[in-house]
Amino acid sequence: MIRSLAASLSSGAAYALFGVCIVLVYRMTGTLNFALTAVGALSAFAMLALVEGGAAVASASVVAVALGGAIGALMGSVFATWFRDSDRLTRSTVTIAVLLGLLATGFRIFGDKPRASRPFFPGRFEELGGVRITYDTIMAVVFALAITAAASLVLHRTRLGVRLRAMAEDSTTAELTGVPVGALTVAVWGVSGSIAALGAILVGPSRPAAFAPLVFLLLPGFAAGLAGRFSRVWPTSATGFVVAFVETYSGRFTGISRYRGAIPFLFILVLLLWQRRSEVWDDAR
Amino acid sequence: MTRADARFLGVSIAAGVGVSYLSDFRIFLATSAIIAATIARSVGFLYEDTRMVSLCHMSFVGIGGWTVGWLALNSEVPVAVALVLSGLVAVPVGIVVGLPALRLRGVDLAVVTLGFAAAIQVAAFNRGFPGARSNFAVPRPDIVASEVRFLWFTLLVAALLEIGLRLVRRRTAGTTWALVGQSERATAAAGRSVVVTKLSAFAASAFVAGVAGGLLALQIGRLSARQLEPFDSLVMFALAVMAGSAHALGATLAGVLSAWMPELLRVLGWSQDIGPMIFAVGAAQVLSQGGGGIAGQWIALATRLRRRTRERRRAVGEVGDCPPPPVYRRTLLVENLVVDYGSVRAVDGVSLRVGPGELVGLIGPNGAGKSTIVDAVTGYVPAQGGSVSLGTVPLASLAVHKRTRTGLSRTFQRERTPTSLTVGRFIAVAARDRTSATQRDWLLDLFDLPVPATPIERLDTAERRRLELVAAFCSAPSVALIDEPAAGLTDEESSRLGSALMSVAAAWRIGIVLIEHDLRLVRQVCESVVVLDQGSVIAAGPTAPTLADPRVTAAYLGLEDDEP
Repeated sequence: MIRSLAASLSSGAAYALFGVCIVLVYRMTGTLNFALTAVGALSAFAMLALVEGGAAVASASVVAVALGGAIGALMGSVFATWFRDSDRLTRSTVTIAVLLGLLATGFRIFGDKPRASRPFFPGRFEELGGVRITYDTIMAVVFALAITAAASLVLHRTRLGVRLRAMAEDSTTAELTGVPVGALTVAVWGVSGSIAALGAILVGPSRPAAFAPLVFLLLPGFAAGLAGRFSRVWPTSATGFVVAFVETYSGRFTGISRYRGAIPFLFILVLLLWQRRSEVWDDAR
Repeated sequence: MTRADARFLGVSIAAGVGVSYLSDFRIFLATSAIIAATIARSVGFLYEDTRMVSLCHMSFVGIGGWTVGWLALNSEVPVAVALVLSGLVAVPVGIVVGLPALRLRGVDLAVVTLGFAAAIQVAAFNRGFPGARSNFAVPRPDIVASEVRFLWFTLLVAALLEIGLRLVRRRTAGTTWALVGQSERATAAAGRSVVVTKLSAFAASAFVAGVAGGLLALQIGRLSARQLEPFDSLVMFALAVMAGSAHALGATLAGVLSAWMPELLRVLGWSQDIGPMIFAVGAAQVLSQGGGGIAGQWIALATRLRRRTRERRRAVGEVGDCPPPPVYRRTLLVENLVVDYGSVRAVDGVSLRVGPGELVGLIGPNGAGKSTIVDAVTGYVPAQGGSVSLGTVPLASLAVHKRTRTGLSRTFQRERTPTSLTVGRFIAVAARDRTSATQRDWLLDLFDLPVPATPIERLDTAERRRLELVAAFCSAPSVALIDEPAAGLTDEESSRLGSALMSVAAAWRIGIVLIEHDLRLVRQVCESVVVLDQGSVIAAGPTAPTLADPRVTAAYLGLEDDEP
């Protein structure tokens, strides 16, 4: 059990980061971002390619995080330009198209063969109660918690957070009161792209890195986001770790391990059934 | 069968004849195109009509293919039966997947379906389709063994599905699909269950995709997991959205693109990955144009080119009498209604009584709680206290659509008519066969609306709002709650609307609650008024004396000095 917990930590950190990104973009721009992990995966693979070309892991990672931010910002400017007045469904549908486009791009550039991932601290670990925890895992958890905390603080404790929330409520009204909606939209998307890249890089050392499976870590991200009702970051982040633990722990039972890939789906089902047990109506009268 | 159906069949047969002369390989591709078109159609009508996003339709295809494979391996059932079963097996799976998403908006369904696509891939498909180990291929019966015969068979099945889908969409059940895509509130207000409507659409879509999967298994012998990955469902969704697969034309385009794009890329010497990229960009482009897809844009253009003048039946004023439909004639009784929004008390102990044929005005300044009362009475928001009953039926525990079916209609401040429907089809959804065509036409004349065949997209906003009134009255309710019908009307239009409302109330004995800021209309129409301020009744009684009450002038007119 403790061993599973330790083994699940780096996946959990990544799920938490993806979940927090999904929540941020959904709250700020009213878009459920299906392309999130695809942005992350592209960046992570760019990092692996750089490392294969001889770059140091750390500097390659910085470049990759910047790349994720750039792709995110590009998406943000597309949304700020062409889909400002679209409804939530349409905007989210567009991100599905973007997901498809990025998947195809990823296959085109990187193929679908797994690549060897590069740890930041090869061979370094701490022993904790007889369980080895690598420095990479520790770093992943620290990043996940720090970013969750930062997101929570920015949203609820700063003037920027107020502006962002105002923009999410009604972008036209916010713009009329002087909130630079276009720039903020691009910024939110850019930051989420960077965090997604970070998540994808951090999850790398814990599993064989193939492009499509990395992209489909979107699903545990969604499960985490759902747990936070797409609005609160701490429950989201915590659920990310829980999903990862359940996945890892179930791997120890031969009967169930075959169905491990279905676990995020089950999480999503259960969360939805629980959250939406009372009637909800669409827009205002 | 309509002319459009006949045209569809004619074009299908002509295309089939044309393709029959091609090489076996091209015929094979054409068969693939028909199957892909069928899948695109199932995804497309779901998205365009009901605004539900499904990212797991290739999984339904897989389930259909699995069923046909299993039946071929383990039984002797005829191909036709196997195909029907392949659709039927997909239906309960679709219902289970759709169920948790029913209270949600379309995009939440996208999350669930994407999860399902990934889950069924690892849990079932990756472990091999029936007969995978023994290299078993689903045999085709001799009669459809050759490629050209199988093409015709596929065309026949696809055409049957298309005609079936058209029949369903023309019936009320299918029309409700378009309404639920526009507004769930309006669907419930029309007396239709939102859950049943969405589930039936999703189940129908899963059925069509399942049958397509059965066809695919027959065409290629055995499906492989590699064709059914979540990625392929994404491709299919983007393709369906891009081509506009709510129309048979768009679905056909999607099918042709799906089958020939790989060939085209091969001939050009380009990478196969470019196909999905093109579809992704195309879908995004279409969405930035407001949706409808390539086919939708073509059809809109064609309709504009041969735009017919709208027919109006008769001028207003000459409208005769009409025998009333079987109205329930129950009295609406609201007693001490209390509604809280969190810690804010929006409605505080309001009572209201509306008998058959009575016209009651519900007035008060903005934020007085008028619309909240309508929402609470019709069941959109829960009441924290008081009772609401219609005749002897207590309404408190009933869902919105059940309240409508008890005889309570309403309209909304913001019109929510679905532009994809005609006037007549929209009314039919709400009417639930409670009124005859004569009665409907009488109402259309009374409210100065065009003939039932007119598409709603050709109506202006004022007409659409009157159409909502007609639809509400066509369900022959005991009581209709009408939320600001005169907003934005000129005095003359407002006065005509008032006459029409009085005619309906008098002729059909329908009780009407009129929420209105236009006091001229209230004076013209209402026998009594209830005046609200900050959630409480401050005055009630016969119209003229109540409006003259100093408390009313202070609370209501004091805020709006320009009122008469």
